Amino acid sequence: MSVTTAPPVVIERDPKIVRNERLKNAATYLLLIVACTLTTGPIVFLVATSLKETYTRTVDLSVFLHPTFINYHKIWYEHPFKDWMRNSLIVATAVTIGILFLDSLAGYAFARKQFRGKDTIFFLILATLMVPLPVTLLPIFLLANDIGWIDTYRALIFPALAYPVGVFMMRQFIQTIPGELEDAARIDGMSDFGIYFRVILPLCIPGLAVLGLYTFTTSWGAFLWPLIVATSDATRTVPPGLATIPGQYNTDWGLATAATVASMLPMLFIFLIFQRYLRQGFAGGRSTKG
Amino acid sequence: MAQLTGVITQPTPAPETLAAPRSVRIKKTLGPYAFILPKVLIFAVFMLYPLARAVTLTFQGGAILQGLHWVGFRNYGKIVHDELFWTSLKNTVYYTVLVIPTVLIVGIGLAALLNRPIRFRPLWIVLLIVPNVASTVAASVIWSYLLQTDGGVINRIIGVFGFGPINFLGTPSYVIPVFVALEVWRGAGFYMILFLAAMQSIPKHLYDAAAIDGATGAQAFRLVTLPLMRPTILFATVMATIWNLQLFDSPYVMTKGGPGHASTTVVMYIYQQAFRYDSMGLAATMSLILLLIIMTLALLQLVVFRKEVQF
Repeated sequence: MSVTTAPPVVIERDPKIVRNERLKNAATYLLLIVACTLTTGPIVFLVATSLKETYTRTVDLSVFLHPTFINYHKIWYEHPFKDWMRNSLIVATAVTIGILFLDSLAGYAFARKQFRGKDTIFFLILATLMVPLPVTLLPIFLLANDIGWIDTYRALIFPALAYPVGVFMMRQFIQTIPGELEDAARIDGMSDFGIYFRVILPLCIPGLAVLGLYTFTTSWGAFLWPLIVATSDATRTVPPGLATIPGQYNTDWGLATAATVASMLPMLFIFLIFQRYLRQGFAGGRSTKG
Repeated sequence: MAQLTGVITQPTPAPETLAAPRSVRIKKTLGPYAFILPKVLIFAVFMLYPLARAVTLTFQGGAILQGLHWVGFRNYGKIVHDELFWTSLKNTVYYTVLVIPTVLIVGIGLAALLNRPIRFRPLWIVLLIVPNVASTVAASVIWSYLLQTDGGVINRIIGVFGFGPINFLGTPSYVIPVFVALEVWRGAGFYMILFLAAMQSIPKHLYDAAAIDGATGAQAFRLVTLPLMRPTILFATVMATIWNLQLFDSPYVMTKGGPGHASTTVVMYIYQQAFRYDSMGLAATMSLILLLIIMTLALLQLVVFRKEVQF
């Protein structure tokens, strides 16, 4: 199809080309169907098992016709799962809001302002992308131990706010916004912070959406640090909690699958809301690269 | 845009230019720092300080409760002779070498399919990216469930073709490929989105020009699409390297490093040393070695790709 859009050249619709195109289209759809079966298939079986009253080795997909929600009822009312969900929501929301605020502020300065040490500081922040988690988590654990932060929300939230990637993303995004808009606002007498808040931020919404989605996903899925520092159900988040459900030998797969499905629902919801920003945001970030 | 014009045409506050020149100058020089200060403060406390502390920690030994004490280079010496550390490093590298090309090729392939003129594109994207809503732990539970020896979905499918049930998570040579499959299943959608965005930002006229020159679709992909996507592929490769060398979640949930030590990864071994055997110093030393490996590889990738870009 893309061939026919070349306007000045008259391309003869050679029957061989047409047949070729048809073949290619058929192959495209076939591959897409195979890929989608592989991505969604496991989830279909997962959901099917969670909707069965008692787990049996063979799962019949006919369970969708007469589902029971007994497993969901159990994990919600007879299990600390509800606490884990609450903790995850609190932590992921706080981290996301914090990151959006801190990184858009810093990203704006790195994109637009001139100040001494700018490149050095930016490079230093960016370079820590390479630092693997345990390098900083061990000392942070010692620190949290010293100041009594073990098993607190603070310990789950603050270290996550140091993560560098958002500064880079927001700088890239803000560089794509034309500078004339700020000049106009400045002539109108707006302060620096006013410009950031009322000119830059509204134009950054696609970039903020992508960074927010990324941050929320990362925080929602974080495992190693909560495993170490969230030592009771008062602060334990979903991933370390979920990891305790399938035991080595006797797993109640009805419960395990229901908990897994439930843990994915908030993410699914957020993904569906924000998915239209995904391509926009990435494209915006990319177009600044030379 | 409508929002913006609304902002600009609002009644303007009294112009600031009447303020004393000196205070304006101070504002001008301090202003930018005010914007980066909050991030820099948190960054200093939870990134720079821990980094420095990690380095000093490598020269310390002892348990947390009894207090750490200086041991010089003993931790480094211990690691050289620690066979399990080298096994865990070998497992991690094996996993990374398998997973990176696989996940990148699948990601580019899916993006190329979606970049063709197809119907219902948004629907296909959602279906392909669905595994991404599973956290790595959720995905690990899902795959533990699929891979059960006794009646798991995958073994039942294999059974249809007449193969006996395979104990995937209990067979040393299968566990690492299982983690690779899991990561490709969960992660390919992310790379797909990244690559699709890059493909769609390639100007159409380049393809028109290629078509006029008689390039086939495959040639256009190789000669136009791939070269223009180089920055994105480089970015994805570097990030995937950093991310995958830290494999921890799926082996922790699915195998606890077993069978034997067949799926013990570096981060898993660090975790065990720090929180099971209470050897913070040793764990810190291993994590610093991991950092050095990651840095070397990331810089190497940057240098190699840079060279290739200049034809």
